[in-house]
Amino acid sequence: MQQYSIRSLLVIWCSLLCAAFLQVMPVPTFLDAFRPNWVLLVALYWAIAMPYRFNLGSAWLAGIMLDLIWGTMLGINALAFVFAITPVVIHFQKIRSFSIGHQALVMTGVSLLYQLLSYLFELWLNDVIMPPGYYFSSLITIVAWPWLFLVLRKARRHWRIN
Amino acid sequence: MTTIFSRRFPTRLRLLIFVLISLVLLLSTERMTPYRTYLTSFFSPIQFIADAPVEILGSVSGKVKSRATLIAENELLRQKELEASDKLLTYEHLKLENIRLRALLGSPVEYTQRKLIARVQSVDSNPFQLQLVINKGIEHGVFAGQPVVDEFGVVGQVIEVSQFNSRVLLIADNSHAIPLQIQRNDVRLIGLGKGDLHQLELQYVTKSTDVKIGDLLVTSGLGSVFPEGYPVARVSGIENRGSEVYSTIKITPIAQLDRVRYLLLLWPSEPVEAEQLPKSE
Repeated sequence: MQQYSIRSLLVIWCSLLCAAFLQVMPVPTFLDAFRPNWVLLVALYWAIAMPYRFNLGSAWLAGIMLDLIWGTMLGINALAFVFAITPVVIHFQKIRSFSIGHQALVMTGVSLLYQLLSYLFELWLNDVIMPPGYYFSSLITIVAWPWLFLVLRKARRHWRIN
Repeated sequence: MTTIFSRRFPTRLRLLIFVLISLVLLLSTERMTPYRTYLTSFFSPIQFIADAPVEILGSVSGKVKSRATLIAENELLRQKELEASDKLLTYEHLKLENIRLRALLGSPVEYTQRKLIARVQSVDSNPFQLQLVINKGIEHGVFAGQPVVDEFGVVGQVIEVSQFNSRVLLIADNSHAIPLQIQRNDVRLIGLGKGDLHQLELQYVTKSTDVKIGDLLVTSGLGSVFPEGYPVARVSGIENRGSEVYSTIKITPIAQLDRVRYLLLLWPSEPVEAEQLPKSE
């Protein structure tokens, strides 16, 4: 039992690190606006797959990780992560039973919520200006989610974590 | 058994707890800065890994260059070197003369001396900020607040250092302002970033101020972050609205902020004293 939980923590955080890597990977400038919020999506997957392992606390840590990698004020992304993941954690059983396409729609909504919140926090603390095409990276979720979901489910079953 | 339905802490309570922790973190940003360096160093391998493919591709393309390209490049560089050394001949003389004149005026001038070339490791993908990560850190003596320039002009300043790399805030970032002066007439101004890589704005310029399109703006050395005299931007647009006190002035940065690859880190040096000056014949 103990061994299982350590292994699942390892898999979860390795996948989050991979997501962080995708988040900062250099890409051509025109593709930059279309980069999905990888870390958020991976966190969302674990939140619906294993809410007893990955809950608000882990989501908050993932947000802190993103803050450190991006160099934003410590806490902005963490706050937005926690708020965006809360409805998913509350309704995880419902969302789990949706078809993949339906899930992709829901996750797009959650991603939009996250982006809106982090924009509002940034506006409040740093008086930022919203760049053009800001929400594209949420809209691309609808394409990215099915692939991410299948890959992570494969990983979860392969290492038999629960 | 796993406790799927356990409600030791209801979700709403958890949400409240983490929101409170986040708010405390946000409000204590200033005090967190020293600890943050360690945390950032912990995650900096990600930047190195993300940068690796670019670096490998660069070194491969360097190795497979054809002879003809190399010869052409060599030719070009030699020509540039000749032009540069021609300028340098007079520069040394002018520099000494300037130091002497300054000494006569009784105002020692600061010359930057130590310089270090850094390579851009990654451009920030966070949509709200314009930052770069460079491959030099505490190890190389980089410090927060250090000025960064490229071969054309000022790029920005270091805002966060970790062990092996550091983060540079560009002058075009929304949170950045830089003290400037017009080279033509020494009028002092403040250049404010607007989150746009190709355009900055001048703040609080009255309509009667002598500013013309095409004026070169250089750092004024006030604020003691940027050394004096480095080129920053050119005035590209002046707009006077009837009802407003100040005119809206757009300036275009001279450094190519969207395609920087190699940067120069500057260290300030001790002020030159009149006694230490080289004797003139």
